[in-house]
Amino acid sequence: MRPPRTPSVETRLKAILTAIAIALTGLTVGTALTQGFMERTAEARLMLDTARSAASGLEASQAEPLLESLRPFWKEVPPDHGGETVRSADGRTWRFALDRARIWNALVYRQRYVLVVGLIGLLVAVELAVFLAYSLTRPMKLLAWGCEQMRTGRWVRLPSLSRTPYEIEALNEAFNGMVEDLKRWQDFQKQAARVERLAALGSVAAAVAHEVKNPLASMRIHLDLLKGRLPEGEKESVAILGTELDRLNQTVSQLLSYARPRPPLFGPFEARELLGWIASMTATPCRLAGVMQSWSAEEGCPPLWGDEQQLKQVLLNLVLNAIGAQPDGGSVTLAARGEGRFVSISVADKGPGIPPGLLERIFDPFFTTRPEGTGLGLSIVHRIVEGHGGRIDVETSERGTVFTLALPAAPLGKKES
Amino acid sequence: MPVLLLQILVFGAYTLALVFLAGEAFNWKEDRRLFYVGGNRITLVPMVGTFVATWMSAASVLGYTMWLYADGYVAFTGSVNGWLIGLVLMPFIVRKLRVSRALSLPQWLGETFGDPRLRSLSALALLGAYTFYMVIQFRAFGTIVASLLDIKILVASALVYLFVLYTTFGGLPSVARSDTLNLSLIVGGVTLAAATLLGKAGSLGAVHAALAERAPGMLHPWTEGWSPLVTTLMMLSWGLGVAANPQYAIRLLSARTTRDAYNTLALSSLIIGLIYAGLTVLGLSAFVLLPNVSAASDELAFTRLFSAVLPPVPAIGLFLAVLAAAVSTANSQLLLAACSLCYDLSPREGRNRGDLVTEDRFLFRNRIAIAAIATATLILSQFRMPGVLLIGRYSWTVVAICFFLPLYVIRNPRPRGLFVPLSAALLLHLFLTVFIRLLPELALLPALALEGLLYFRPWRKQP
Repeated sequence: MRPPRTPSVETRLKAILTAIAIALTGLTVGTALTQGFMERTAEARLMLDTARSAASGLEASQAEPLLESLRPFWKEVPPDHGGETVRSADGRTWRFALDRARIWNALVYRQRYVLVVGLIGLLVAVELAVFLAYSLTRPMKLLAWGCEQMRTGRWVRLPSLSRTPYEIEALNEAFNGMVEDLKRWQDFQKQAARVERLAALGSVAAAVAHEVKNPLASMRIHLDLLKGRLPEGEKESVAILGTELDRLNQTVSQLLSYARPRPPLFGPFEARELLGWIASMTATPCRLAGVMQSWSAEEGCPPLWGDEQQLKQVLLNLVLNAIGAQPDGGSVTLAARGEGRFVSISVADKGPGIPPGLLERIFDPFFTTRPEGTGLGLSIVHRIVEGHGGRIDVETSERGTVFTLALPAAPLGKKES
Repeated sequence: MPVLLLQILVFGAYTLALVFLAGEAFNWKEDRRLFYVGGNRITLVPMVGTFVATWMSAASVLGYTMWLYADGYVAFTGSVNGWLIGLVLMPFIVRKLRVSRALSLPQWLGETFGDPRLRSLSALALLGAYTFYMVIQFRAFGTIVASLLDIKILVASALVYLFVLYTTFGGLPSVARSDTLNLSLIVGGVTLAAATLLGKAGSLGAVHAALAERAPGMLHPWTEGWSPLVTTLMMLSWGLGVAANPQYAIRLLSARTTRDAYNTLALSSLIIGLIYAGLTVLGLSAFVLLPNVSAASDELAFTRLFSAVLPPVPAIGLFLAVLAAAVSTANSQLLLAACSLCYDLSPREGRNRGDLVTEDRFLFRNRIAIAAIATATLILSQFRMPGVLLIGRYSWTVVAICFFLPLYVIRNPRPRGLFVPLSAALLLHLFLTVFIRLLPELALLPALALEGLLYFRPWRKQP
């Protein structure tokens, strides 16, 4: 965030509210003091006139105590200082001037609470300005922080602040909505880029595989022919050559099936049968790896609608991956249950899980973490499941991984067809 | 101009200066480190400002001057001398503190001894101690302003409440800025008043001569009521209390560099010395000019005395200095009390800052706590609690028990080894002050001794 260069909302609000508070206090106190002074002056003049009129009929000695009553407002001044004159019947003259300082002091004393409350009002106005600014800048700060996070590639959601005005709440919601849309758009772009990449890769792979498959077949035939003619000592090398050729052939076949998958031959079949077949096929590798195997199909689980051979390939891939992920033993659990128009089949293991950074790439072709893997197994699984109009989800943690397939259930009446 | 109007205008000017010089209460880029320790980058001038202004509390300005007015130089021996001992000790903890990146002293204590219980216990002690100590500041401010303007103490205390609230909301940066203003007012007010009074009394020599004639006991460092032993023990206790007080230690932690921390201590000692010299002149000269002024409280006596012996402008300057001292100490203590409550006593608050949302919520809670503690203090300051000053002295000594040994004596902390000694020391202090009726300062020494004994256990054979 950039450091602020111009006066902040708080400073501006403080200045405005302080000015208002000073003006109001000044006006109130000024009016009260001026009005008070005018009233006191008028009262003083009335007192003086009354005293003057009374003194004019009295001897000087009798007028003296009377003139004492003028003291709160008037002070006696020497004759050459001007002022108001009071004369007694026997001709003695006094001169009085208005004691403004005394009047002011008395007025200020009387208005002292107003003045102090004005001061408190000023402070309260400043505190209010501060809180007003806080309530405005707090969401703004969060919004700026959210934008900053977005800029650095972190998706954030702004929390809703308690008791914020609805306008700011709307701003927050708009920001959060924008973040969600952008995230969806980014996911879509990633998906589109992946599809594009896979399509290009598929075309190249198909061409290469086609060119490699025929020479491979020929090599295999000639190797079998050679095998009978070679002395006993050389046969081991030929057997290794044969194994490697088979591996190469399998990779090429996988590449071809990935690049040019045959369209699924849809038909109904029972999930229970599928799971049973998989369990029997993988019993030996499980035993060898010390992995406990179990499977279950929910009572009343609807039949699947798909290509049985392709889905066997899918589950076989997933179970073999699960066994490979638990070299020190563990368990593989297969389960099937109906979910509306879909059948959900899960393959769960208790391996170490997939690191979060790799999760996005596991369905990419040629992506593998195992040295002997081709990196095509899960790509083919993904393509077949998508070809069936299904969905594949992965949940992974340090306690294990669960692949869940959502495959179409056979429509009613199709079971027997 | 009427003196009353002049006083109100001066308070108004102080208010405006505070509002616009203390800066913003809510920093755009704030986090807990900035809020509590100024991001550990407070520069020398505000550091000196906040250190000295926090040092000069209303209780010490007013209490020391009136003690001096009543008893003479024994006030210096018993209080200022001890405080200065604390100041002399402080350089020894600068490096130790700055190695840690803690945000509070309880956190430092808990982490140094690897014992979260220590953090909670010391934070609880700080929360209580500072809340009650603030009552004294509020009360002093309220009494003086109420007496000057002839208004109710509640109305006058509302002013200090708002001043303190406003300056503390921005955390240490705002406190430091306002403290710099407060320090200039304290130095200006005390110097002007002292110079005026010295002019009226003649000179310091003339003051001493008058004292030698009228009250020679005032020139002696000990009095009959305060024997040399008691005075020395008091002095020592005050010294240990100041040396271990987190409100100074946290400032040393907040300095931009270690060098700045040392320079702060050096410059501050000069300014503090100047202020105490001014207060000494004030107390002694006032006695010479107008002895035997007494009132129901020290605050009232102070107001009456200096309203009588000083002309209006220097008198207002002096009163403003006391008010500035009250505000500057109270806001510092309020911040530390809120830190103890929201940071040290909240087990979920980690040491590191979270993202902006977490920080924003955390600081919001702090501001709520600041408002709540200040309001509680305002309410407490309206009760005529017996011995408010005594509670302040309790606070001071409890804080010393919590922090003196770990800060100054223990070199190689033993994990989880301090909790029992510290708890035992606090209990002993409580027993000695409540049941034996010993002065809190005197009870501090055996409590510290017990804490040290239980921690080091000299009777055990070393492996």
